[in-house]
Amino acid sequence: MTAVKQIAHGTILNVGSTAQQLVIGITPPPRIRQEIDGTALADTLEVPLLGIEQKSEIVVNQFWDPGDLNHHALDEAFDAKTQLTLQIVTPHAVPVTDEFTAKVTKLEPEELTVGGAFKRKVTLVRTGAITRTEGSSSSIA
Amino acid sequence: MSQFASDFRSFLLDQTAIAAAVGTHIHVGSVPQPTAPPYIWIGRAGVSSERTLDQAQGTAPDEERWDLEVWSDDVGEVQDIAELIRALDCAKGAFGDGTIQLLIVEDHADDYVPKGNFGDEGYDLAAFQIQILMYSAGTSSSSP
Repeated sequence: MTAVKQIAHGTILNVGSTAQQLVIGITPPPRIRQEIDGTALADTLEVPLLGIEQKSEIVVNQFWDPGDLNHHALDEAFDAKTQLTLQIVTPHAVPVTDEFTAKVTKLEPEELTVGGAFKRKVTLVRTGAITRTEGSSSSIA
Repeated sequence: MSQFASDFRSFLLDQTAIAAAVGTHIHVGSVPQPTAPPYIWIGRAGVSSERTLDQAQGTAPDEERWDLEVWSDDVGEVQDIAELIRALDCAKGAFGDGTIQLLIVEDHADDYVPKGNFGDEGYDLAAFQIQILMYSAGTSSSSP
């Protein structure tokens, strides 16, 4: 199959069982393994040993509507340190869903300017492995 | 005339002092001939949006930018009407049949090329850029 460029418009961020609206951009959580030095005196090339997968963050930029229940749910999750289940569903012809758990660690409103809209950056730390499935069906109840 | 243009013209005509100064002589895109001064010409300069991942096709732009020109054969009259236009800065709420969240009035730069008069009558001009943010068309709106 020939690889196809796909623009990000149409990507869905599900938090719990509902889609977050007015999302401007998402930085999905990277997957990074710990690199452990295993160099021996006789080695001629440094090749690290691979350790456990590191924690990673997901960053969501959104227009912020404090009256929106789904936006407010992120505030409540921050307050209660609740573990959320997130899904990023891609807009490909055959969608790919990355599902993982995360906790809200930062709620950072942007500067309020006269002609600017209310926006904020939400940062979550991933607390579980990423499960990737093809298709947009949700396993979230 | 687009719904936005119609609402913009209605908004200007709803301003009592402006309507008293120019009557119904607020023209969108072209000025009928003959038109006695003073008059106001408006024309769309552009639109822009900061889009979201879930944005639906056909969503109204976040920002409309319009050129507004005040023309008259009396420089004092131009300046008087220009003050009425400047007084619209930070208007919000009703906008013709629709609503807006904010209107911003800026003087155009000196190198602005006016479009509302190509004659040689020696008219005076005051030119503005009008930013209109978060316009929503009214539910009863329809293009004339």
